[in-house]
Amino acid sequence: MIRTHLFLLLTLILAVDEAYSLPLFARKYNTTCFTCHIAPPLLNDFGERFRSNGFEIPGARTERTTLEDNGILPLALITQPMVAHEQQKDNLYSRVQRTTLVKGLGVELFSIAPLGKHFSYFSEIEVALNGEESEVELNMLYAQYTDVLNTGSGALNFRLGKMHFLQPLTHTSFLANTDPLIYGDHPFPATTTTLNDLHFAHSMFSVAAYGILPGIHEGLQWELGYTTGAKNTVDLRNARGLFGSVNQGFAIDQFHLEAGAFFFGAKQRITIDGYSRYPKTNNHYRTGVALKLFDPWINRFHLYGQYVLGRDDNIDYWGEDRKVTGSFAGVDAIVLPEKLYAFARYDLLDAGDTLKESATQIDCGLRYHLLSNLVLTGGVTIHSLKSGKGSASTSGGHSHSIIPAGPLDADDEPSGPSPATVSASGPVDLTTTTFKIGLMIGY
Amino acid sequence: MNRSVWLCFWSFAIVSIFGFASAWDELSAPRPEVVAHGKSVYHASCSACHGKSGKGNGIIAANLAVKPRDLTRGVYENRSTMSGQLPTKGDLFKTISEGIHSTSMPQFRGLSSEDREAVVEYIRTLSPRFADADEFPLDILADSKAPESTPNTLALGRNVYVTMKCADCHGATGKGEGEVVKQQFDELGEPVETPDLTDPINYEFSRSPRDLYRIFSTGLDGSPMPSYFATISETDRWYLAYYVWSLRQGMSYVSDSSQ
Repeated sequence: MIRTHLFLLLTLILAVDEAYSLPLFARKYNTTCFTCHIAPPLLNDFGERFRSNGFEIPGARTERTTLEDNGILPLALITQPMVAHEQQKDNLYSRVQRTTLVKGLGVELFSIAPLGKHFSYFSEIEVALNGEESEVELNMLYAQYTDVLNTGSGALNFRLGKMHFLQPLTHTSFLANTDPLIYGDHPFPATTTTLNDLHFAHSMFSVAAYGILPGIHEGLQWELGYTTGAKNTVDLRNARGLFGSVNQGFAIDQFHLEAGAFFFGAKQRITIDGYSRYPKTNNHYRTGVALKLFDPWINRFHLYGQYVLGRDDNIDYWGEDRKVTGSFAGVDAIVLPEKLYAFARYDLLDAGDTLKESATQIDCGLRYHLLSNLVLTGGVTIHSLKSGKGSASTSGGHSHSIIPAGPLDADDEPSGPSPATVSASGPVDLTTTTFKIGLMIGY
Repeated sequence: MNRSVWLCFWSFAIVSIFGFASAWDELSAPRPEVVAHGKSVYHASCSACHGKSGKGNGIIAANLAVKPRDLTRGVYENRSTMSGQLPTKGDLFKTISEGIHSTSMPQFRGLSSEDREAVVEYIRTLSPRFADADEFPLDILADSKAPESTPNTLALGRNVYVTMKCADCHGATGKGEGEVVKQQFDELGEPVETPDLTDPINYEFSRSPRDLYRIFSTGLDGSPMPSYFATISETDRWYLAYYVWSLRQGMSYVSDSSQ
């Protein structure tokens, strides 16, 4: 299997080199990735406008391309193989565990195209290669009806399908395969406590109206959406949520600043066989503010930050509420345009009030573009987790450890013993340092 | 007056009228609503790179290896006019439509012709040069018949390449390893990377030997590439174009007549 993976990877690298570069739209428009990306996949303002315009050059009014007009198959793929050396230190017992892993042996397949004057679609399928078992997951599939007002301004558009909301400044990490703490998949991966995170950033089956008005870097970005799911595999019958966001850009000569705010509120019915006597609904909301600014002198330092507040009134099926605050701040530096980037980001997630848990993460590193779409990344991630210090993590005779909190997946049924027999989980104090070197290949 | 004389008269009249109209068109003030529409399209499609006022300092400009043009200066590389002159409306329209290969300037064919024409009119308002009557009429490079391409053409083109010291910048093999490469800057002081002529991706404006012939004739204003209109004969410019075109890596020699 490893041979197969290496063969596929080598083939892909050679194919990238032969083809010079440039996935999908860059090929179509005879341009480089950096027209739309600060560094792929992080979109710049032009890229955001491009997306909001039905994957057409912003401002296009009349001559829209159809699927046949694309001239190329609207297909692209990205793979991010990585070697990671991880050192996990248990600060309570002075134990150290070291592992070296190869990650990211899989591909994300994209098909994105305009389908006429107003319609377009976006789809993303992830194929993960895990030994003999490979997984295929549909991450996103949505249709867009853009330029509703027929002005070419992108002021009003609609989307429908499984998708992410465009909350302000969900800032993609520059490091391949690094999961940011806020909006990441596993903010507390090493603890026995299952804490609901800020997962509303996951793709959900939703309908939304959105737009940018007017201008491009002084424009107001907005979105208003309704969702029937709060996680990837959520039971669509029992989740309801509303989302809204605004993000205003300001520009004074070379000084660019964006400020935004968002709100997500949802009601989730919790239905687990055998536990029907317990509360069945989790009302939760996430709200936050965000800021992004460029240095006004050379525009090469991009600073960003976000503060998020989350509240659940029934995180664990037994009616316990939970408050979480999350924040991150970071800087991306353009060392050599279109070639070399440096980045650093600090994340903090705190559930101290109710669950005595907190986690921090520092990411920093470099990213070098061998080609426009062949990227070498390297860096270090330091993840720190503290849980249950100073008090037992139990409440009302049960533990947080066995019931998935917050919006429950259909397949997240409890598998452990009943609440009455569960013992309290102990405190955790872990520091995990991971050195990573990886590739990101797009074609 | 016989029929052939009348034919000549009317032919002359039509050519004169169209010729005048062309020159007049370059000088004419566009309708305000066209400029207003062009401004709207510009802010949606162009300002992210070229900046709101056209100074080339848009929000994403700092991240681009090839900096966006400062449109307020009215200095353009891709022209059909003689060195130092303004581009024609057609030149601007062509650049917008085709983009600039291997840079972040995409082709804007998705914009309607009306939109692109309006953007051209708006861009012309960003530089005072376009309002200066002394800049007109524009001296446009005359059409030139490409000589027949023969194996000897490349050798002749190579001679021109050597004698005109193209290798000083582009290197003996055309890979851009000339001795003065490290000292190259554009008119704004930005370092300029001399293109590797053996790699097709570096041909920003050239899709055929004819485009190269035009560049050798007009130069790329604002860059270190000068015009050779006065120093290399028309025929030799064609030979040079054929030779440079043949340097493209992996490309077989293509006759201009097949373009």
